[in-house]
Amino acid sequence: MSIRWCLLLALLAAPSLADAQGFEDLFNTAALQRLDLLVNSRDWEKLKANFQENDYYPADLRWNGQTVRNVGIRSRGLGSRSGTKPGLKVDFNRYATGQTFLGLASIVLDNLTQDPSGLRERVAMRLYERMGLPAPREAHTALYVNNEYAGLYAVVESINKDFLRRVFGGVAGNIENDGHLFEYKWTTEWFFTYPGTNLDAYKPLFDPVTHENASTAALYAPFEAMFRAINESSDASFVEAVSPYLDLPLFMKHLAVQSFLAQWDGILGYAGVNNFYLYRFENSSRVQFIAWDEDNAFRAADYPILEGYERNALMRRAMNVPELRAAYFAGLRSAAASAAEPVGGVSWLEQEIQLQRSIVDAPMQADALKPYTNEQYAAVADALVEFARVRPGIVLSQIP
Amino acid sequence: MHQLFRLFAITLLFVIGMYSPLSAQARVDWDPRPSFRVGDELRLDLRLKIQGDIRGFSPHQPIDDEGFHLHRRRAGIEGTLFERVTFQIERELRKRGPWRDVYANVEVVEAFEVRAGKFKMPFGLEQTTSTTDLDFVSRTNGSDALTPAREVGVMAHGRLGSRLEYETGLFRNDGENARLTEPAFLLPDEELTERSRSVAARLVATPWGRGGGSRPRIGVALTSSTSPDGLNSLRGRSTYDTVFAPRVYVRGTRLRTGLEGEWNPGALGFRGEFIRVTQERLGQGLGDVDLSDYIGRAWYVSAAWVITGEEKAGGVRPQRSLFQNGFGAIEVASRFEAMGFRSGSTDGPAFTNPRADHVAPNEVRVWTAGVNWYPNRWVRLQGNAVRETFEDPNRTPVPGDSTFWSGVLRMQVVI
Repeated sequence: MSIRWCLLLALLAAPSLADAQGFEDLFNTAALQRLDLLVNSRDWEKLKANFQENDYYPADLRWNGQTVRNVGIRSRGLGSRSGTKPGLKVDFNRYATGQTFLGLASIVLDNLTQDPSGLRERVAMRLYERMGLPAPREAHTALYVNNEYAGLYAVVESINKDFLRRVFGGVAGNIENDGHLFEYKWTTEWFFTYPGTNLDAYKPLFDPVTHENASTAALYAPFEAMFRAINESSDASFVEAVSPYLDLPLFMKHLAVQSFLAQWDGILGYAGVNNFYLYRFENSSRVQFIAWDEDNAFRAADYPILEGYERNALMRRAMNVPELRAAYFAGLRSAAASAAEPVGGVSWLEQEIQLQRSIVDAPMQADALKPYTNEQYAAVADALVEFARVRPGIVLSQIP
Repeated sequence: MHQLFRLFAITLLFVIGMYSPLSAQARVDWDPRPSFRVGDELRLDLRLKIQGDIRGFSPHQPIDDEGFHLHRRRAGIEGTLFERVTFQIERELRKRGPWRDVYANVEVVEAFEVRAGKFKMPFGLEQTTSTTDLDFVSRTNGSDALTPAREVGVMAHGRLGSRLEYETGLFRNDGENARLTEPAFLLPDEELTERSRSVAARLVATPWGRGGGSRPRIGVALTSSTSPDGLNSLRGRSTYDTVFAPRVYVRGTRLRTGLEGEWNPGALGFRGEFIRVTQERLGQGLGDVDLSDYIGRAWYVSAAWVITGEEKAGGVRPQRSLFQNGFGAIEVASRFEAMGFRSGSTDGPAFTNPRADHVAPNEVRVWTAGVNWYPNRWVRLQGNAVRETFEDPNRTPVPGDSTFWSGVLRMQVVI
């Protein structure tokens, strides 16, 4: 293919420059965003009354002087679902095929109801980015519904083909975003044990975000093979058996960052694996984990770095491989170093927390719909600052 | 509905009980159907309607009823009392099958009769014709979606001279075809104020010619009702029930207007109908603004020819039945129809959003050609070829395809 054709394809596939600039402005973390939703008042009441349902309602969305009309909004979340302050998914193409906003097909409005500080998710994702791991862009926003303040939210980039294009970009002229993307759906405690040969067992666990209409075999047969390899390969052949499905050193790095962040509801979560996406690359059986929903990070500054690893079949076996164990600890050291990097007289992590706190302080205190008091907010935000100061040292001290 | 049926059945049994079957005047007739009679004072007819279809599609449509499908199994009783009261009870013979017609009609004078119970509202030429008497396997999409069909109510009707008939009634809701799918959403301190009662009226004239049912007839009809707040508009469905124009939010008046015409000269039959429905959308926009009306529109024209020469008016009755020195009657028919929905406003881009002011329109056009064979007066075999073309290829039985062919073979037995 000629260079001219490659350039043309790249131009067609990439969002416009205006969209790209708008995207950067929307996720500008140095400023509080303002988003306005115009909905029918009955729809808004209905959405709150039926917040456990995924029913869509039409709305207009306004941001920074731009209005995108006829978007679809619905209640979202698992533990964060709320009838008082609903978490929202905003689909720009729900009622108009192909409609996008700033090059995005959808965004998430995280209601921050599981985080009294409102800071955890945003700061955690910044650390994943710094560590070179794919993570959604986020920014804080004041949300207004029909001109009434509906609370402080985080606007979160959806994990979809737009996201994949941004983080994986082009490979040899091909935009790497047409593989199989899945959202993990927590239904029960599961620790990456082998669900068995029946592919139907994988359906409730992995919800396809792309290629939703593909056959069960196309969607789930690679998962069956992957979890069989994880659980049934011999110790000697573990790395060789699993590597076609997973970049194990990269996976260990991902877990290291999550452990540094003391995320207790993630891949090594207390109630089984949770809060991640999996992307299976085009024409490949190999998957990559993508961070999602870090509202429960920053559990405690002294959170053990090996918490939960023995319960998890994949992590337990990986830690028995010296190279992978070393990769995990190396990842923890890197995360600690990145977080502790001096910036303006304090560590990067503390500086990031303080910056975000200065942005959310007033809108958080004005948010009458949040499920906690202003005192609780202040206490947890203070604890995050303390976490930033002591966590790197504690993590390094725990590494054998 | 069950209470209405119970009351009706008790009354009927009481009246029948007044007559001993041993009475000298009581008798049972079998032609054309099982019938219990007591002089001229009571007549009870047993009715049975069975329709079975074999269907095929191209391209394949994702529906459950491909292949053989028992379309209708209905049984009922109809009769007359004291020559002035007529009544009918009919039910679908399947588990939890709905009651169809359950009504009584009193003829005070020819110009004034009163009907009460559950029956078809006086709107739509095709809708008020029994499916067993249609020239085609199915009604038009417009008749199925835009007309009200059956409802519980009371209606006055009669014949004014030899050229004018009227029907006008008050009904509990707006008909089976307009059943509310979403209960009104009420805020904690709010009470439901709208009632969905409807009124309907139809006027049919036979201004030309003399004689019976072969004269040209033209009619106008309207219904008016109030839709409560909710996702309760009428919707567009294809011949095989794919929703190609989903419901939108409505509130306010729903007004149907219809124009119909029929002419059956000899062995020929011509029919045509135009239906328009407007639905108000008060306070249904984003920010609670009023939206433009939502408009449904349908029309069709059809022609039929009984090539074996029998009269078309009043239903085809074969002159020579099969196995009785004959072959029965054969009829060919063709119909063209269109039905669609759109919003009153066409400003700005169109959206499928159910609260859009400019709703993305969609329309289906259907051509049907058929052959009907009547081996005798009780049995009919029908074959229809149907071609459907949708305006929006993304809202069709198979998104991406806009034209669909189907074929239906039906066997019908009516006693």
